[in-house]
Amino acid sequence: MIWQIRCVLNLDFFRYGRLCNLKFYKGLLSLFCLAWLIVTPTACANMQGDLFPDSTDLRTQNGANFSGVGDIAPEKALYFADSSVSSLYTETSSFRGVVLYFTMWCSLCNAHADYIVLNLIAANPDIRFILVDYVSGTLAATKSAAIANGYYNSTGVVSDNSGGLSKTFAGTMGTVVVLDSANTVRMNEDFRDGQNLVKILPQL
Amino acid sequence: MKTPFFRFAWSGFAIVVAVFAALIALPLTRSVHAASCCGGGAGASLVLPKAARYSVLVSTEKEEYTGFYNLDGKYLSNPEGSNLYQTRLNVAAAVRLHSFLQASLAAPFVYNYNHYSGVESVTSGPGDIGVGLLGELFRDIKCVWKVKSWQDLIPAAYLGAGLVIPTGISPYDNVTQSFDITGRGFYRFDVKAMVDKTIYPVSLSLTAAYGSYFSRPVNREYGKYVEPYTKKLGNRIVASGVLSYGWSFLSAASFTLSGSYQYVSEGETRINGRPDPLSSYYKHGAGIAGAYTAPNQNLVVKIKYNRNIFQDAWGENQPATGTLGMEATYVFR
Repeated sequence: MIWQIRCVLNLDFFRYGRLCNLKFYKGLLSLFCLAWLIVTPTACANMQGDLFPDSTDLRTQNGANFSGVGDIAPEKALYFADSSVSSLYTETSSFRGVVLYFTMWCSLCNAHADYIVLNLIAANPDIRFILVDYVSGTLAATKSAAIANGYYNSTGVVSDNSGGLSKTFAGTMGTVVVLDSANTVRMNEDFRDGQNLVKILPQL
Repeated sequence: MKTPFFRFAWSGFAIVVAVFAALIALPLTRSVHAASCCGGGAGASLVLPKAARYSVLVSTEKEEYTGFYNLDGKYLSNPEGSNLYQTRLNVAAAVRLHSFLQASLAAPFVYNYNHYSGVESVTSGPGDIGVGLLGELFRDIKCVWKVKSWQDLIPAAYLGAGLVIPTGISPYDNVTQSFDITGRGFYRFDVKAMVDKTIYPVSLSLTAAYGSYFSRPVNREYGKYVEPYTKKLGNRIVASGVLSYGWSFLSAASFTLSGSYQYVSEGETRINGRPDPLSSYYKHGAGIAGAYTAPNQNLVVKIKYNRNIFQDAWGENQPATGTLGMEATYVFR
């Protein structure tokens, strides 16, 4: 069996009738050692979650440094691109729920935002959908980006110029946060394919 | 060839490369901070000449993110006042395992610079490492000066397989921002077919590759633990063509000018087995490169520029970029 495996590995066997070529094994071993030397230190670092992915539910280990599912969201001012000012609590008291979507005006962000605008807003008129621009820094820049990307007139766009919202919810590209009318965080995760968001909206 | 000195030198070289690679990798164990949203893959690849035993490549690339194609294929610029770059330092080595088989390893180190009018982030970290095997389906060199018979038209053909190892920093690691990302976070298995023909002074190289990501569980996104789910990125297709023209000098040095075209696409991501229609993408790109080959034929220095076409309908759901790169390859015969 081993002899057969060696023959199959050895491409020269078919051409020259040689049984094995030491170069092959030496080279393979060297490459393996080289890969091992590189992968081992990196595996000890930050990225071992990718090398050895874990399916354990560790949600209880989320710290208190952001508002996660089940937490009461703190009150935050909302500075809209159209220069109006509101607050989270004002919005949650006026609607059945509030959905915050964090955008940095990228292709993925626009794909998600398009899905929200085209599929969810009209179907859920009693829920407030807000895009949170956490990169532009000023109201004027947020307004400019909202217009350029086509969302200025289709949904509320908020400038998170102080980083208050992104810090509060640990929001980054593609994060979606859902608050109910009691200001409880019902969802705080990546948008993914949007199906978790679709499922939770009727429960608000 | 297999003299004691050769064996000693060969082993010595392997150790030197290994130590060098480990030194490159060691800083990766430190905690890293921020970067671009798209990750940084193994950016270098090597094809060993028939007569060569091994080669080493060092390259650097600076990729500028100018905008993106949305789901409808419309090209949109990045927000006003933003400057987004990813710089990669790639170290790669290829080893001849057999007269018809070679192996390679490429390890990138990634620097992300993201400047928006409201946020600035400079971060770095390892990218995803790529390892590969390339089989040569020809015995003799297929470069000819003149076509004398139909056999002279037979190209050099290669079949290859590769594995991308997720050593980069992904959204599923302990990071807080999309700017931190230097890798995709998924293993990927690639198969590749390549044909290459040179009838001096013109060369044509065509490559097609198909990659399949491995499904993996996810229980954390940007540092937040979430309800575990399985995720599998869509299958990847890469097709490229390179047309080159070379000039040889009396010193035996040569200069080659190349134009290239590349198409990249990925299918729909699957979340818990369910396809995500918002995730697939494609884009087209074009490039130009100039390469100088030293008189001893062992050193090749290349400068290259690749960019996507910053107009509507040349991509969907992907960033559009321009990449300036330099690389040096040394071949040991």
